[in-house]
Amino acid sequence: MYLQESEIVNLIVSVVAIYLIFILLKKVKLLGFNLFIAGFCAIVVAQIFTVLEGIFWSVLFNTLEHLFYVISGLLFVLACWQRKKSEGEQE
Amino acid sequence: MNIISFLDGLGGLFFLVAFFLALSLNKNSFDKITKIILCTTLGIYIFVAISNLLEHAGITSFLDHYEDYAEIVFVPLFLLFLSSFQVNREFKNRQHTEKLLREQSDLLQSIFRSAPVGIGLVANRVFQWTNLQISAITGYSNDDLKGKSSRIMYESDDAFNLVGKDKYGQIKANNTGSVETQWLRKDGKLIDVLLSSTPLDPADLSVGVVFTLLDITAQKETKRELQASEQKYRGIFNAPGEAIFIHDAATGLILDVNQAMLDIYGYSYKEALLLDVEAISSGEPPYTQQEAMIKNKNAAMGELQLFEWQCRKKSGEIFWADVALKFIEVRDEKFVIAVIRNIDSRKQAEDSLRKASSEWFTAMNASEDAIYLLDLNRHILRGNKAFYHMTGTNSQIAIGRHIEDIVHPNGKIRSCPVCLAQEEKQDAIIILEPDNPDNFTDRPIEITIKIVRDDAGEPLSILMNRHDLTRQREIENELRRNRDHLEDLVNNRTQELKLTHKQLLHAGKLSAIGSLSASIAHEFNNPLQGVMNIIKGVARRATLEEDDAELMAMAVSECNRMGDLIKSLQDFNRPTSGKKEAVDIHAILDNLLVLGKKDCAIRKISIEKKYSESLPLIRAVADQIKQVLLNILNNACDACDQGGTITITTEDQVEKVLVHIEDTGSGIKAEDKNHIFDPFFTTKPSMKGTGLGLSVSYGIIKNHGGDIVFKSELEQGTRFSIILPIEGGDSAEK
Repeated sequence: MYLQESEIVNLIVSVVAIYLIFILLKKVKLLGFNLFIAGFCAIVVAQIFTVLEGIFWSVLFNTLEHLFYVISGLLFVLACWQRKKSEGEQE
Repeated sequence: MNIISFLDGLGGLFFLVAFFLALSLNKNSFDKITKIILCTTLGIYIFVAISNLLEHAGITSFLDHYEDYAEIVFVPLFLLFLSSFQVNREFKNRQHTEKLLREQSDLLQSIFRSAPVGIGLVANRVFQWTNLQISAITGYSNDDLKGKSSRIMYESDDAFNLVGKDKYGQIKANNTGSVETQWLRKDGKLIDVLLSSTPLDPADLSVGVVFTLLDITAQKETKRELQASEQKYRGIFNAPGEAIFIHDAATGLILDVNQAMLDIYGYSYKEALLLDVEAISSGEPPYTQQEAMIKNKNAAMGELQLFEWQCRKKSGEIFWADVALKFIEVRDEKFVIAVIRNIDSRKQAEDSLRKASSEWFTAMNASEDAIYLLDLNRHILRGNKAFYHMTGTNSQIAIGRHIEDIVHPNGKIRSCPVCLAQEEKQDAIIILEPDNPDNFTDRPIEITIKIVRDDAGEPLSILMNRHDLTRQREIENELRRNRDHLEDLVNNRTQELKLTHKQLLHAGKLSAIGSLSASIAHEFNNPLQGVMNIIKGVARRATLEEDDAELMAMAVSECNRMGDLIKSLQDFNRPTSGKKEAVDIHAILDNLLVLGKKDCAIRKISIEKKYSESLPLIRAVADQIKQVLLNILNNACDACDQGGTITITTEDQVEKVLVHIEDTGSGIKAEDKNHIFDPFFTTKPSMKGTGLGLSVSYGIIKNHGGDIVFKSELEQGTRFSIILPIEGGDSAEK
């Protein structure tokens, strides 16, 4: 078992952040932010896999960790593209 | 390169693309700070990806040392990005809201200032704020009004309290109130206003009440004028005696009616507005809803419709009406006005007139005279059938033409007396013979010219009557012939009367002779009785030889016979008593035969008696029955002028007796059989018979309730039968 302290802290901070974000979403509607939040969630999932790779199936979870970073990046690209597109429509 | 390195490279590439896209976003997406936070957040993972790539490539760098910190920083930065965005958005919203509020505030103030209605705020009926329009309406400035009670606007306390009570009552009930009242302007002039109030806080009116003020003086005046105008219109609308309907041009629905309609049809106003045309029409074709709609449609197209219509009242009574439909358009609304006039009385008068006219024309046409009417210029106004027949024209050809064109088509040769009378407007009767050149017919005619004049005697027209005298002439000729024939008949009858007169004179003479004979017979009777007594005395006392005694007996017998003759003459001539008594028919017959015995012997006429043995006495006037039998016996003797036999037969039948006197004489001609009982009818020479014998006899027997019948064959003889009732007739004594 190989666990890094920073990875555990990162995961805890991220889970708390997700909790806060969902509380926020219940109160206000953040139109056009779903893809940003999905990208953030993908990073949190990747961080979970980061922790898990230290416990078992290190190769699989390591691959999944990096895959989810790719997914996260793709979601942020789509999110920014969507905003860009809506700007054009507003203009 | 393994898959991890590939994924790290791909992930780093994506974050790099996202980074540049984020950089390119403008302020419509994010404000500057938010954009920086986003780029920083994305930059962290670019950094992480590069670090990982280097790590996989086996290059150890200082980046590894900061990778963990970078990942930890990512989460707060992302949260910061969201927060920044939210804060920025709310700030923008507030700015936008404030801007809107400011704009609305400016707009409201602008509206309040420029509003055509007065707007103000009162608290406890004290002016707090008013706009310029209220100043314009009331004449008070805004400063004058601020802090003043609204009582100054009212003429009296009562008006002030009344408006307050009314308006605040409405506000309590509906949260708003509206009252029409009068306000007193600063210059003392009263104006009509409409006050509408809404409280700022319905629960607490003391907070303030916003009110609007509308000067409706002009509207009120207009309304009053409109009401007056409407009353005037209604008065005009209701004034005519004709029923007036206002229909919707498109649907034909009744929109309004006047009072005359209600009076004529018997409906109430509400009922009238619900009626359709079918209900107020007779319904008999063509007076139906369908036909009415066609006319309404024609009227709606602008075509004035005038026609007669059979209308129906509410009571069901049918009446005739003149209808006029006219289309009108008022402010884009289209109507059809229907004016209905009851013409029942006119219709009846027209019918009567038509009937009278028809009767008159029928009568005129029935006349064989040509009757025609000319105007004063002698143009033909009208003519009857005979006129058109006589002139060979008809009404289409003749009416309107000059009379001379008709009767003198080839022009006048000389002055026509008829034309002259017409021209001089003189009544005249002119007869034109067929050979008269002014007579265009081949018949004699009588022309009557009558000038028709008005009450003042002024000529109006010329009435002409052309009468054909042909028939009249024929009648005159016929009358002339009849008169001549009548004169002939009178002459003949006069001759006959003269003859009859002679016969009457002869009868009188005979009567006188009869009376004289009776008188002489009476005078002879006494000496005869003396002679007979002397002869009887001589014969009784003297002794006579046988021959002388026979002569004496013969003398006595002849004296007796003479006595019988005298008695018979006396009886015959004795005036009738008229009294019925028992009469022996046989005795009468015997007496008559005694008188006629000598005459019959001279004429070689034998008398044969066939008396009934049981003939009863009858009730009769003896001398009348004797006269009857004598007349018939005399006629029988006269018929046997060459000699012959007279057979007298009596019969006894039930309740009556029959006496047949049959001769073998010349008989009665067939043409005379019907006349033998006529007075003065005789076939005997004038000095021998009067023609009264059988006539008188017939009357006597009828008076006795009996009858006389006869049967005769020419040259064979005649048989008369006298039938007499035994008890006699009731009317005999009369």
